[in-house]
Amino acid sequence: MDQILHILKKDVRRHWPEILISLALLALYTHRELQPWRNAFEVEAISRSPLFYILSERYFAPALIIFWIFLVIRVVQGESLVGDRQWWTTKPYIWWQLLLAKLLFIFVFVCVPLFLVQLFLLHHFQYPILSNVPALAMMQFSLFTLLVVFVVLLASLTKNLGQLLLVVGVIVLIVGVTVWINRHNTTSAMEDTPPYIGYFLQVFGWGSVAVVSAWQFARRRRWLSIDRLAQADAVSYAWQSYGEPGFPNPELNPISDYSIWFQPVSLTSTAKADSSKVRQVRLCPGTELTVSRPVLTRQLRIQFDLPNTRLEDLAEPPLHFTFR
Amino acid sequence: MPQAIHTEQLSKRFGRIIALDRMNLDVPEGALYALVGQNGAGKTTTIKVLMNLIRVTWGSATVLGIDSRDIRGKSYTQIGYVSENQEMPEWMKVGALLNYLREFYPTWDRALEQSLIKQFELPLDRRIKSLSRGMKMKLALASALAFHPRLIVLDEPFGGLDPLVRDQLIEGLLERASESTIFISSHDLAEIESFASHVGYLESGKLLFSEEMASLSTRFREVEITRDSDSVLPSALPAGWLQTKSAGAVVRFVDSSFDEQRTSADIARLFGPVKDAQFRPLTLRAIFLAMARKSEEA
Repeated sequence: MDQILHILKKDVRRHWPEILISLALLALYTHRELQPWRNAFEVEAISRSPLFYILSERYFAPALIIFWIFLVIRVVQGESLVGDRQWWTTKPYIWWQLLLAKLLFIFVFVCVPLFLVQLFLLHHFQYPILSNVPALAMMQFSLFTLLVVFVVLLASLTKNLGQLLLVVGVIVLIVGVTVWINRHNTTSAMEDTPPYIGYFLQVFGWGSVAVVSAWQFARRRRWLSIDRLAQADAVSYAWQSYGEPGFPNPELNPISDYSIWFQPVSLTSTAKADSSKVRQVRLCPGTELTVSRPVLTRQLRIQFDLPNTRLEDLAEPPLHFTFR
Repeated sequence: MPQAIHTEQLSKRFGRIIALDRMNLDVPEGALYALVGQNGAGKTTTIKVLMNLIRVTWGSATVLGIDSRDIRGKSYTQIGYVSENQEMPEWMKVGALLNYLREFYPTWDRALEQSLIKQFELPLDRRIKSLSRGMKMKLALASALAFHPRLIVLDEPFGGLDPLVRDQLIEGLLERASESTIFISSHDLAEIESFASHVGYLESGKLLFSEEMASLSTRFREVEITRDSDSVLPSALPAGWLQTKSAGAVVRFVDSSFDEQRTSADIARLFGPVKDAQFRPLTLRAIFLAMARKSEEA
C-alpha cells in the first residue's frame, strides 16, 4: 500500500498540469451541460475561431474524452513497460502495486470528478440522486471497461504516444476489415444462436484485455503479451463466427427482422437497450424495448432500418417501444 | 567460495545472431569482476540477461542465488544497477529522485546518501535533464550505492566521461567495494586494471577466459628472444603463443600460458640455444589487444 501511494504521489507531482487541464475541461463541460437549450446559432457564431470550435457543443465532450485518454496514456507510460532501458525496471517496484497506483490515479482524477459532476447535474436538474447512483456506478463501470482498460492496455504495450497512435491506426484498419467481412458473410444459420453467447464474448474480450494488461505489468514482455492478446482475439473471432447474432443483411434475412441503431448525442453517456450495452439490436415482432438513461444524454439519435425504409429521429430518453 | 553470479551454458540469440554462446561464468562474492571485450562482444547482453531485462534463450543463471528469470521487484533491494544507456526520469530534480527512491529500500542509508551527495557534488535542486552525462552517471551511482547493495552491476559506466569524473566514480565505488560484489563491463582497460580483482574476456559472445587478475598477469608475458642468427620461424608454434613476429635475429610473441620453465623449454626446442630471452609482464590493454588480434586473424 505504501508503494501504491508513493507512486501515486510521484505521478501527481509529475502530471499536475494535465490534471488541472482535465479538471478545467470537465468544469467547462459541466457549465455547458447546465444550459441544455442554448441557441444553436450562437454556438455556430462563436465556433468560427478554432478554439471555440473545440469548445463548442459538438466537440466539447469528445475533447474531454480525448484528453482523459491522453492523461491515462501519459500516466501509464510514465513507467514505460516496453524496452530494456527504463530506469525504473531495475528498481524494487512491485508490479501489482505499480498497476494499482496507475488505476488509483485514473480513479481519483478521471472517475471521481466525473461521478461528482454527474451527482451535481442530477441535483441541479432535480432528479432523485440515491435511486440513480446504481446507474451512475454502472456508467462508471462502462467508462472503465470501454475506455480505461483498453487505453491502459495500449499504453502498456507501446513506448510513447507516436507508437500508440500507430497501433490504434492498425487496430482501426483490422476492425474495419473484420466488420466488412462480417457484413458480407453473415448467414441465417448464425442468427439462431442464443444471445448469451454475445454477452459471453463481450466479457471474454474485455477479460482478455484486462488480463493481458496485468500480465504486461507483471512480465513486461510486449511481444508475448501481443501474442496472447492475438490468441484471445482469435478464439473470440472463431466463437463470433460461430455464434454472434451479427449484422442482418436484408438480402439474406426474412422481412420480419428489424434492426435499430442508437447513437447517444452526448458521448459521456450510455445507451441501454434491453439492459445490454449494444447499440445494434435485432428485433422481432412483439419485442418490447426500453431505452433508458443516461443522465448526460439529452437526446438519442434513433435509426430504424426496415426493409426498403429508413426512419431516423432524435428523441429524448426514456423511451419505450413495442414492435408489432 | 559462494558465487554472487553463476551461469551455465547461458546463451542468447537475436534471430540468427548468437549474442551469447554457452557462457559459463562464476563471480565469487566480494570480487570486483571486470567483463571486458570489444564492441558487440556481448557484454551488455550478458548484463541484461543477468538482470532479467531480456530473456535468456537457453542455459541458466543465478544472481545472489536467485534464478535470473525471477529477478524483479524485491530482488532489486539487493542489487544496484547502473548503465550508461539507462533512461533516467529526466523531469525529476536530483533531490526529488533520491527522496523518491529512499522509500523503496528498507536499507537506505541517509548518512551515506548525504556523504555521496557531497562526494559527487550533486546539485539537488537541478533537473536531471539539465545534468551533464558525467553528473547523471554520478547520480545513478549514488542512488545505486546508498542502500548498501550486496551486488553492484555497472554497464560501461565510464564511457565518454572525462578523467576527473572517472576518478570520482572509481573512488566512490572502491570506498564501498568491501561490502559488495561489483560486476562491471568496460572498455576502459587502464581503469579496470587498477582495481579489478577478476577479469573475464568476451569475444563474439564467447567467454574466452575468466580468472583472477593476479593469475592473468602471471599467465600472460611478452617474450623477446635474441637468436645467434636470423632464420625462418618454425611452422608449428605452441597454441598459446600469440602475435609471433620475427625481425632479424629477434623473435617477439605473447605467451598466453606462460610458465617460465615450460616456455624456456619450448624456446630451446624450437630455436635451439638463444643469446637472450626476456619475459615482460603485460598490461591488461596489451593482453586485450593480443587476444583481439588473435581472434581477428582466426
